[in-house]
Amino acid sequence: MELADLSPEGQKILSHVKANVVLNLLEAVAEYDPEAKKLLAGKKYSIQIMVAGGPKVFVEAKDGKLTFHKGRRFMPSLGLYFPKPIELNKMFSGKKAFVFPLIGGFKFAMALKNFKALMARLQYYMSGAPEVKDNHKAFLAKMLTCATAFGISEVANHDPYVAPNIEHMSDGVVEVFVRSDESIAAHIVKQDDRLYTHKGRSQERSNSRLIFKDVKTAIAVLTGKVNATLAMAMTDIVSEGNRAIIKEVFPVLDRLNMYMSVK
Amino acid sequence: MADKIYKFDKSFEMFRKAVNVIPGGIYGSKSPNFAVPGSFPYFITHGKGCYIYDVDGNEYIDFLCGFGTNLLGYGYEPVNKKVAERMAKGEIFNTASPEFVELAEMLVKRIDSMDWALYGKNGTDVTTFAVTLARIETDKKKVVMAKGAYHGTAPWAAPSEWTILDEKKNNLYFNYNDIEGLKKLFEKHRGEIAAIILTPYHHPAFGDSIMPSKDFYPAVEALCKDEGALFIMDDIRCNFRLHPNGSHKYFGAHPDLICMGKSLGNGHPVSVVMGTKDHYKAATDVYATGTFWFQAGALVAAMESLKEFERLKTVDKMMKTGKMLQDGLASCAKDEGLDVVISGAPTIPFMSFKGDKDLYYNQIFCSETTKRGVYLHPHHNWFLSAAHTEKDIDKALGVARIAFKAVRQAMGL
Repeated sequence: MELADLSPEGQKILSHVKANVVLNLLEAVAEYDPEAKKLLAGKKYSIQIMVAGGPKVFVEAKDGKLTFHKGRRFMPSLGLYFPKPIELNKMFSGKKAFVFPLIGGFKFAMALKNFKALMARLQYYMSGAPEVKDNHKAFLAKMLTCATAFGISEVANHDPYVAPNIEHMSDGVVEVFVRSDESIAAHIVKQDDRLYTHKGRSQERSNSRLIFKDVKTAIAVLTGKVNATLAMAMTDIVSEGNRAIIKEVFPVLDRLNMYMSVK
Repeated sequence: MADKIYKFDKSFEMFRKAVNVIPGGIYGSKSPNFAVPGSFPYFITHGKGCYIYDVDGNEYIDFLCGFGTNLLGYGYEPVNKKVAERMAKGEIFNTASPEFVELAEMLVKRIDSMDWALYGKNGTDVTTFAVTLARIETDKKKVVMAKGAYHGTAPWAAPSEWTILDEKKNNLYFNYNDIEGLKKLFEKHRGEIAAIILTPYHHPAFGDSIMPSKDFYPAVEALCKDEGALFIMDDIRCNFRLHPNGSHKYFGAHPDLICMGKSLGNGHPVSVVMGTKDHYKAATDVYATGTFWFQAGALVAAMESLKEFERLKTVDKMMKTGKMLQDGLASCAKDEGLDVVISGAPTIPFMSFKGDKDLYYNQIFCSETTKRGVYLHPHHNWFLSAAHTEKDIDKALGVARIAFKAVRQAMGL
């Protein structure tokens, strides 16, 4: 589906997915990539993204790190205001977008330049280039796991299509991780009719676990190259614990894949 | 048997082919994901008595019985012989066969308080018919059911959630045995409730079974009478495993309609909805048919099965072996210092580990038994058949001991 073909409601949902997934991935790149670390060294700024009727999120650069946050930040260095969700979706799809910059301080130019440079590093890892696939497999798996888990929460919390699934899902924690490298992990918490995604494994005992056998499997399944049903039957993905919760996550995942396939 | 760990190479190979041509490879409750993939066979070739055999040649003592269908055991000759004879003469005709009436007469005589019978093929056919009948007769839409109960795959009852399929909007849910909650529900929706549909006792997937409290059925019946709603008993899963005259008899309940299936034909496809004479007229008003609903062979299977249930006193036999299994499991668990919850009737038992609501340990336990030839499902109640012998139960308990040790290890004890 082309971006322009998506309904206004769909644009809004996609903007929540894009804002949260892309900026979470940017945080991950900032933590992993030596180039990004260099870019962030000594930098201190914040960028607020606001979409009319859509997500409000911000990133903060401090102490050589970039962190992602939901909500509003008091006096950011730079604000990027999108008058419609489609404009944010265009920007994160590499298309020309209509955006109002809101200058919050003298650091705005540096912040924008640094942010763009970091986004270029993210693009590099998401490019699917052979050198990335060959040399950064574990990080790629981490990005995909992170993108999927954060995307699931956004779809679950904003798409009425999956509302019955969320309503039907009991409260609890679902973990997703790679057996051979448990640093590749995320967990989703269902509470008060909403899903919340966090990086890493859960500190408390999870109700359900979805475990990829190895990095290769995680990449193959999360990029759609391997049928997830087959992978589960072949035990390349193992599901443990509360199946009723997991069962309601799969339709959300299907819906996420639909949004992520919008070009 | 206990020392050999099964492999499932051929099951895996066949599943790879299946996903190419069948949505999900194997769908619904037979899907590998409903059990524990890698520890259970995906394709079964045949069965005999209480034993089943998979495509890899592994043999199992089966405690799922084809989800309850094979009450007399697999390949049960006295039934199958009569069915084969009927098949040789043709089964589906332009109209009904004589067996159509003969079976109904037999059922009306056998099933307590019921006056008529109408056939389907699966449980969903007859639960859907019963609910439709109740709606037509009462001119009301809402149907009350227990949270977590399973009543089939039709959109009004299916466990999956889709916004576009809004038939469930007329469903009202209550917590099983919560009489006060049920009263409030009836009060809140006074004049709107067509029926309450209940399994004889609560046997949800992914959880322990719950027996009705002694006040439960009298309360249900009083509420239905007061509201003018029908009481439907969904006896699909329990039928002929609690009482030879219907599970309602076992609990002293008085439903208006009863749905039965699964074991009725001992693996042959036949289900039935039965009702009291008060609902005969409404039953004639609901247009009901299905190409294969009149299949003579399945009706013969039901008749022959009913005869065998009576002759062999199957309920008594299964209660005895089932109790032996339940007690044996509790004892083996205790020996390993494990606390288990045994629930359900002895003929339809289930076991979980205390405090393990997500069934992590059930998954380990049932994987360990199944890989060693004792097929126990981690998420669905089990079934005894009349083919299980005390020797089979002993063998199963021997394997269970090994599985309990594995659970103990997983618990870090």
